[in-house]
Amino acid sequence: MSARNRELATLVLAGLVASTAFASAWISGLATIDYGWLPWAAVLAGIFVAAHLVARWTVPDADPTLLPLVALITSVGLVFVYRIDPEDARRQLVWVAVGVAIFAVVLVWLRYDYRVLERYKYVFGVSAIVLLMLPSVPGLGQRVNGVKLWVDIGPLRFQPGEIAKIFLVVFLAAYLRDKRESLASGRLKDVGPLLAIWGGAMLVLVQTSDLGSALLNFGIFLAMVYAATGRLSFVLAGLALFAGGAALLYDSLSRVEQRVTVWLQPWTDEKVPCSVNGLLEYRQNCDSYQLVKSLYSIANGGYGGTGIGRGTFETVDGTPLIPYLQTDFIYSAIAQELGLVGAAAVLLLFLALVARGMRVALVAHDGFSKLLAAGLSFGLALQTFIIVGGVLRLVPLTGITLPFVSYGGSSIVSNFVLLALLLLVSHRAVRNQPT
Amino acid sequence: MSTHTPYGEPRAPSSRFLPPDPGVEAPYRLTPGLAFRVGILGVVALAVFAVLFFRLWSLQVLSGDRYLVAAQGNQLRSIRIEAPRGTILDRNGRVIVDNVAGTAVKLWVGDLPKSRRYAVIKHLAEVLRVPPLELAKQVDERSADPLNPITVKTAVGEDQVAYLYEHSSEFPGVQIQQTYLRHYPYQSLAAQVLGYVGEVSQGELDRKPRLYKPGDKVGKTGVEANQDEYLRGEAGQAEIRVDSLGRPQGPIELRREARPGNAVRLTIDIELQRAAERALRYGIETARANKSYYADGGAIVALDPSDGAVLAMASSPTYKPSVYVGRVNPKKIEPLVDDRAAEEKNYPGINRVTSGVYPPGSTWKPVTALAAMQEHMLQPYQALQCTPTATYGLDKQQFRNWDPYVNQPMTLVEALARSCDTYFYQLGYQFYLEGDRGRSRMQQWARTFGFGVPTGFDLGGEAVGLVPTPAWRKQHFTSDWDRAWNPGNSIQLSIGQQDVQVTPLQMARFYAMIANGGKLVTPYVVSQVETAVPTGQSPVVEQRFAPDPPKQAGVDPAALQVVRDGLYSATHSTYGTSSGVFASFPVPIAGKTGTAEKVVQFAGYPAGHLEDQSWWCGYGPALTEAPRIVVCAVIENGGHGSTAAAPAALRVFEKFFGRKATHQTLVSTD
Repeated sequence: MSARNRELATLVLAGLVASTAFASAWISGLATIDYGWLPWAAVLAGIFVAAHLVARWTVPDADPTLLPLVALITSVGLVFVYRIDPEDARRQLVWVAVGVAIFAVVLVWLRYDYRVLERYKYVFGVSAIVLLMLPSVPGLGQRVNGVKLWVDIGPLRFQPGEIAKIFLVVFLAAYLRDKRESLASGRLKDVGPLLAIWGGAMLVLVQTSDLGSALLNFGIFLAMVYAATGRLSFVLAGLALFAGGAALLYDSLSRVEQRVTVWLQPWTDEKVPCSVNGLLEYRQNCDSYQLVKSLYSIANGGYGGTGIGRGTFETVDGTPLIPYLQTDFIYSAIAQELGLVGAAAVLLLFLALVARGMRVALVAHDGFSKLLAAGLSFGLALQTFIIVGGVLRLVPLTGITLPFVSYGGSSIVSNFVLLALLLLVSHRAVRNQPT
Repeated sequence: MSTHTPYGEPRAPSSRFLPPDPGVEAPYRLTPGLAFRVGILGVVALAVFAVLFFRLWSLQVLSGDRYLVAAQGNQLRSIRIEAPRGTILDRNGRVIVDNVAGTAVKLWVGDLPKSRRYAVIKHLAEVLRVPPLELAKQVDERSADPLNPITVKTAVGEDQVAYLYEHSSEFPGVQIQQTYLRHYPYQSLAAQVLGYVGEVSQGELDRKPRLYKPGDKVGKTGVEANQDEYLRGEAGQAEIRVDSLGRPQGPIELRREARPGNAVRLTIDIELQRAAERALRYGIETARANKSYYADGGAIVALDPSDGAVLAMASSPTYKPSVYVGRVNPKKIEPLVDDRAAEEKNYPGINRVTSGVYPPGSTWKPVTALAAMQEHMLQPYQALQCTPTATYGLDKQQFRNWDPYVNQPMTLVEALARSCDTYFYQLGYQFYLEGDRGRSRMQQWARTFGFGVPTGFDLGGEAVGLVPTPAWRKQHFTSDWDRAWNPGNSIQLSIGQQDVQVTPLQMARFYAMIANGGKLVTPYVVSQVETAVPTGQSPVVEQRFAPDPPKQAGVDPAALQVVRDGLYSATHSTYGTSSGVFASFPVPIAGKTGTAEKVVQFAGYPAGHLEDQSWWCGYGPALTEAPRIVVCAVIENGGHGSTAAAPAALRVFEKFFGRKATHQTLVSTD
C-alpha cells in the first residue's frame, strides 16, 4: 500500500471518529435526533480530502500519518468550539478551509525544493522580529485582556506571533545549518546573533507583556541551538539568561508578576487587592477566577467526562463560567466533557503528531531539513505544553493557543503552514534516500 | 532554458534572486550525533506529555472531589421581591382597586435542561392549562435573558401548586412565588379612568432601562399609568446560594425589603360613578326605546364647578380591567389592543369623556350668546324674531328652525329655553357681517371658554376638538368653494353644527364656568398620594395635587346671568326643552339640551349619513351662587337631547342630591 493510500484510509478512520463527535455535540445541543451535523461533517471531510489530493500530487511519499492526525485534532477542536459557540464554529470552519488552501499553496509552491527558503534566512529572521514587534506599534496593536497580541489591519485582526514562530524556525534552521560548526567550537563572534535573539525575546516580552509567546520562541531557539551544536552549556546559559532577564523584569512587568502569583496561589483565605476592579476580593473571585473555574471544570470531568454537550460551562443565569473558553481554555472544556480518557487521548494525538514530526527530522538527510523538522515539531510540543500546562496549573498560565484546536484564524492558518513544511521535508527524505 | 541548480531539481521558483549555496547539499556529517540530539528532544517532548498526563490524572481523579465540592454552592442568585402595588381610593377613601395575594409560577429559562427543555415546557403548560406553544415561544424569546424568570401564570390554583410541589423534580427551573394580583371590587367601574396594569413592554424597557426589569408590571393607561411612579413601590432584593444546577443551597437572605406602593386617592365618588354608569346605560336604552336604534355608546362626566374635581367619569362601552390580571387571554383583550376587534366592540378602551369628539349642537348656543353679548352685538332683553326658516347668502340658502310651528319674537332667555335656531342664526350672520376679523370673533371667545384647546386634565390623553375658523377652512380644504368662509359657516357654527367638535369634558368645563360665575377650572381626578396605613387610621399624605386655581375667563357677569336664566328656563319654563325631565326634580337644575347631527358611517348606508348625537349639559342647584355639580351627558346616535341624554343626566343628579324626580315626561325637543 502506498503512503498516500494509507493516508486516505487513516483519514476515513479519523472522519468516522470526528463525525461521531459532531453528531454527539449536535444531538445533545438540540435534545432531538437530527441530521443537522451531517453538513458540518461533510464540509470538514471535503476540506481534508482536498488536502489529501493536493498532498497526493505534490508530496506522494510524505509521512501518511501527519495529515490524518491533524484532521482529527482539528475536528475535535471544531466540535468543542461548536459546543461552546456555534457561531464561532462557523467562522472556525471557514478558517480551516483557508488554512488548508494556504497549506495547498505552500505545497504546490515548494514542491520541487523547499530548501530555497534557506537562501532568504535573514529575510525570515528579520520578519519574525518585526512580526513579533508589530502589536506594540501604536495604532496597529490591540491590547486584548491586558496582552498585546493582536494587530488590526482594516477589518482583519490577526496574531502575528503565530506566523513569527514559523519564520523563526526557518531562520534558525538555515542559520544554524550554516554556522553550527563554528558555534560548536565556541567562536564568540558567532554567538552575537544568538545574543541578539535573546535581547529580542526580552524586548518582545517587555513590549507585549506576553510571557507565553516569549517562552515559546525562546524555547524553540534553545532546542534548535542544542540540536545543532550539541552543547548543553549553551542551553543552560540561555535558560539562565532568560530566567535572569525575566527576573530582572519581574518587578516592572506587573502582568507577569500577577500571572506567577495566580499560578502559585490561586486561592486566598483573605481578601487581596484585585487588579480588575481595584477592590479587595478573594483572589479566586478576581485575578484567578478564570483559572479556578477552569480547574473546577476539569475536575468535573472525572474519568469518563460528562459527555459531549453535557458539561457545565455557563452559570444558571447564562453567563459563561470561564472567560475565553473557546480560545485559551478550550482544553479545559475538552477535559470536562471527555474526562481523563478523552483528554489523555487528545494529548496522545498531539504526542503522536510530535513523534512523527521528530521521526521526519531523524530521516531527513541534510542539516536544514533536520533542523527545520525538529524545530517545528518541538515548537508544536512546547506550545501544547505551555497552554495545557497553564490550564492544568502546572506552569503559569499564558494566553497562547492550543494548535489546531483553539478558536482563532491566525493560529489555524499558521499551523497548517507548519504541517505543509513537515510534509515537504518528509517527502524529500523518502524520495531522495541515498542508495 | 532550464538551469540545473545544486538543489537537484530544475526550475526552482526564484533561483535568480540569490545565488544558491552549495553547502546546502552537503550531507550531514555528524549524523549519529544529531540524530541522538533530535532523539533527546523527542524524549523531552514525550516527558512533557507524560507530565501533562499525570497532572490531568491528579486533577480529574485524585482531587476531583475536592474541586467539585468547592465548585458547588458557589453561586449567588438574586431574587426580586415584588412590591405590592398601591391601592386606588375614591374621594371618601373607599377602595376602588387593591391587590389580592396570588400564587405565581415562574420559570427560570437558564435552568431548563437542554435535553428535555420542550418536554418540561409542555408538561408545565398542561398542568397550568396555558397554551404550550405560546409558552415555548416565550421561552425562546427570553432565552437570551436568563437573569429574569418568565411569569408563566399568576393566580394559580391550590391543587396545581400542590402538584408542582409534589413533582418538583420533574420541573427544573420552576419557581412558585407569592405575588400580588390587581383586584377590582367594582369590576368594570371607571375602567377607562383607572386604566390597567400589564407586563412591561420592550419599548418601555428601552425608554427606562434602570427603572423597569423584564417581567415587571406597570400601569399602561389611565391612573395606573399616570401615577405609576407612586403606585409601583420599589422591589426588594434577596439572595440565595445555588449550585451549578440552580438548586437552592441555603436560606433566602434578604438584602433589601420591598417598599409597597403608595395609595392614590381620586376625586371620584364611587357611588356617583356607579350611578353615572347606570345612567349612561339607561340613557342608551331610553334612546333605543325611542327608536334611535343605533344608540351604542356615550359619556357622562360630573365635575365640581368650583375647582374642576371630577366626581364621576363614565364612558360606554366599557371593559373589565381584570382581563389583564393573571395570564392574559388574548381573546379577551383583543377589543383593547386590536384595531379591528376594537371597532367591532365600538372602542371600549377609549375614555369618551376626554377623547371622544362630537359636534355640540345646541349645547353650544350659550357660547354664541356669550360671544355676541361680549362683542356688544346683542342686548340680552332685545327681542329677535324666531322664525320657522331663514334665508342667507348669495345663493339664498334656506336654514330651518327645528320647530317649524314657532314664529314669535324672543328674548335671549326664551331663545335658550326653547332652543330657537333661527334666533342664533341671526347672531351668527351678524358675526359674518363683521368682515374678516369679525368672522373669527366667536371662535376666539370659544377658545377663551376652553374649546379647541386641551383642558389640562391631569390624566392627559385628551382630544382637543375643533373650532373652525376662516384660516382653518383655507388650510384644510382644496376647492375654492370649500376654502371660502361663507355665511352658512357662521350660521352653522352659531348652533354648534357642521365642523365644530368638542369633547364632553370641554363642554362640562364650559358649563362649570357658567355655573361658578365665569371661572375656567382645570379638571383633575387625582387628588393626593398617601402612604399605605392600616385601615382605620388617618392617611399620611405624601403629595397633594392641588388643582390649578380657576382662571377668570373675562365674561361680563350680567351676560352670564342672562345665560343662567336661560338655562334655568330651559329646564323649568313651559316650553323649556328639558322641562319634562327636570321640572319636577326637587333641586333646581339648569341646563341645555343638544341634538347634533354627525356624519356616521354605517354599513348599508350612503356616505354622509347623519345621526343625531344626544346632548345634555347643566348644573345644580341652580339659582344659587355656588352650584355643586355640573353634569354633561352624550349618547352617541341617541336622537334628541331631551329623550336620551337629559333623562340620563337626571339620574346622576338624583344620586348626587339623594332626591327623586316625581315624574318625567319625555318630549322630543332640540
